Amino acid sequence: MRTPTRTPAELCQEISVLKRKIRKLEKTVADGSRMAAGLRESEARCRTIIDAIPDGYAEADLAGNFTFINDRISEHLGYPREALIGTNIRRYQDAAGFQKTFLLYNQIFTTGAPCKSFELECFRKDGSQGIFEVSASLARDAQGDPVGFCSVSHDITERKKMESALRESENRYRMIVENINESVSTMDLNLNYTYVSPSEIRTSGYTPEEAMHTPPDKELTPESYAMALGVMAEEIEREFGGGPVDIHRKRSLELAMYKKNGELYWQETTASFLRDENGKATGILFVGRDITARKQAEKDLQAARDQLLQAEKLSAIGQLSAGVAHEILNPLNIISLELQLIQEMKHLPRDVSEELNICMAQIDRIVAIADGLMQLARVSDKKMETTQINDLVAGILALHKAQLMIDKIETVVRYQDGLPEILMDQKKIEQVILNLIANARGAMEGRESKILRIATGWESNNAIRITVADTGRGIATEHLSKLFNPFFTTKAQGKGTGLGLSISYGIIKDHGGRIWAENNSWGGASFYISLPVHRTMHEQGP
Amino acid sequence: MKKVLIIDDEEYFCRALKKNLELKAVCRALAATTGEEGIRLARAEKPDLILLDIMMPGMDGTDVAEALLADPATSSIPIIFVTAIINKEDVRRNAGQIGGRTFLAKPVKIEDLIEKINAL
Repeated sequence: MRTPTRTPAELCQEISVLKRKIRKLEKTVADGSRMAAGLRESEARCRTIIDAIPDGYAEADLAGNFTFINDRISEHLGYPREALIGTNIRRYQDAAGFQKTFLLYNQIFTTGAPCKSFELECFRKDGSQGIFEVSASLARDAQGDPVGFCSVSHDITERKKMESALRESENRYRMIVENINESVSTMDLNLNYTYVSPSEIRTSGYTPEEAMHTPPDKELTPESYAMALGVMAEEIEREFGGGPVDIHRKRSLELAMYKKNGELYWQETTASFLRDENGKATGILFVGRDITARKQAEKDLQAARDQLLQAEKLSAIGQLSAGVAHEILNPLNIISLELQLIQEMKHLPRDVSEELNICMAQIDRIVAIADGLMQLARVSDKKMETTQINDLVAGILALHKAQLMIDKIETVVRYQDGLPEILMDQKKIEQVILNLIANARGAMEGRESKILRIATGWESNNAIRITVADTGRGIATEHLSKLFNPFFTTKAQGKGTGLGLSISYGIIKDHGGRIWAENNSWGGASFYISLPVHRTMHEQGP
Repeated sequence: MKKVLIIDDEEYFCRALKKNLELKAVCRALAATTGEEGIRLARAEKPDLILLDIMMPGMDGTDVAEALLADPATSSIPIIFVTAIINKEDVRRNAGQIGGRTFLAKPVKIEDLIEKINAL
């Protein structure tokens, strides 16, 4: 049976439908082509971006095999791209490293959440280990099923090395800073402490915490504080004043400071600016070194130099004095005899007689001075014998007990037991002590409290000390260095020749000792005599 | 009256001392201004006492003393050294005796000298 034929209208209808279908198909194909072209274009753009980024980009399947990598990954690991594709991350890690990687990626897989900025270690082709900062996420297909992982990684190997080196350096410097004797501290530019080293406690007795909260004007003496502020102001002006700066400059100051217990000590502090990588000042670094011992040594050295200079001066003066004294005494002798002759003349008016007496008194004064000068000059003619200093002092005080009582002077004596006998010219040392006592008496004239303190003791292992202290008015600072100069006197004219201390100085120097004076805490002056102990005589030290 | 010989290079000292002693009528005083003259006068006059300066040009006091002591004619004459090179304090402290010799320090007090002369 033949199928019924379609009418032309029906055929046209069918053709029209077919044409529409064809056109639709053509459109679909065209769309598809365009989409494919768009996709290809998009893919190419992505590839360009992925290859251009400085970080590594990798895709892996769920087993951890690389399915795609960019050139950075290749550079990170040192293998060509094609050699890496299809290989597992495990190949480039040790057991511990892979364990870590597995746990992290497993977490990503199970949670679906990306993991950002974790660190992975991988071994490169050349055997070296690289450290990478990785951010990874789960890759899904169109249906949303996990198909693998994508990760972006950044080579932080160098950074880690630098951090490690920096930490090591910091630890090394911290160990040095915490163990050196010098104290190290830093301040910000507002002069607030930001760090104080543990060695501070050895220097000042303050813990670092205490030191950071102790204001500088409490740590420093007023003079040192003023000096430090001045220098600080100068340096800040120089640094921020706009002119050229030497970024390596330092300033050193010798500062008098107070320990926690109030004791004074000296510190040499070197200060410099802390700077950032651009050389900009960010704070101040102080390194302090205790120089108390050095300052004391300098003081002692200066004292020794002064003594030596004094001795040389006195020696020169003395030699001159002897000649001058002799030359003066001869004509004085004649004047004296002539005046004595006149005094014997009969019927001498009374007022003339009185004037002659005055002249004779002045001659006596000149003779006393000349005597003193000659003593100064005398080449040592010591009569040396071993003497117990305590006995010598006791003897002197016994002789002058009455005079001291008349002067209403209380005497306080302290004898050190066990002092050795020492070689000395007894009479000369007596003369010195008598001179000091006489000066002490004079200094206390008119004072309400008159106490003469005499003490014997050890000066050092090799010397004994005798102290004569009064409660007078003390000695003006500007006079202290001139005390032992010939003719220097603070007494009224006619009261004393001004030679007593010079002569005493010469005697003590002749004995190889020292004599010096300081103001004491009782308001008066203390004179100290140090005499050497000769080892052959000395059986036990202090 | 006792005779005292003064040996000192200071002429005015000799003159003044001589006058003082004669004024006091203590003794007769002779004077020499050099060591050599002093020795000559000592030998010639045989004084009871010699007052001898030490620091003199040419023959000094110690040379004179040695010469006088070496000469039997003058060795027994007592000598007092009158000098400015020893200070009064030392003389006082040692009661005028130093090294076995008698000293009188210048400037001389007549009273002190008279005491010594009278003690002869």
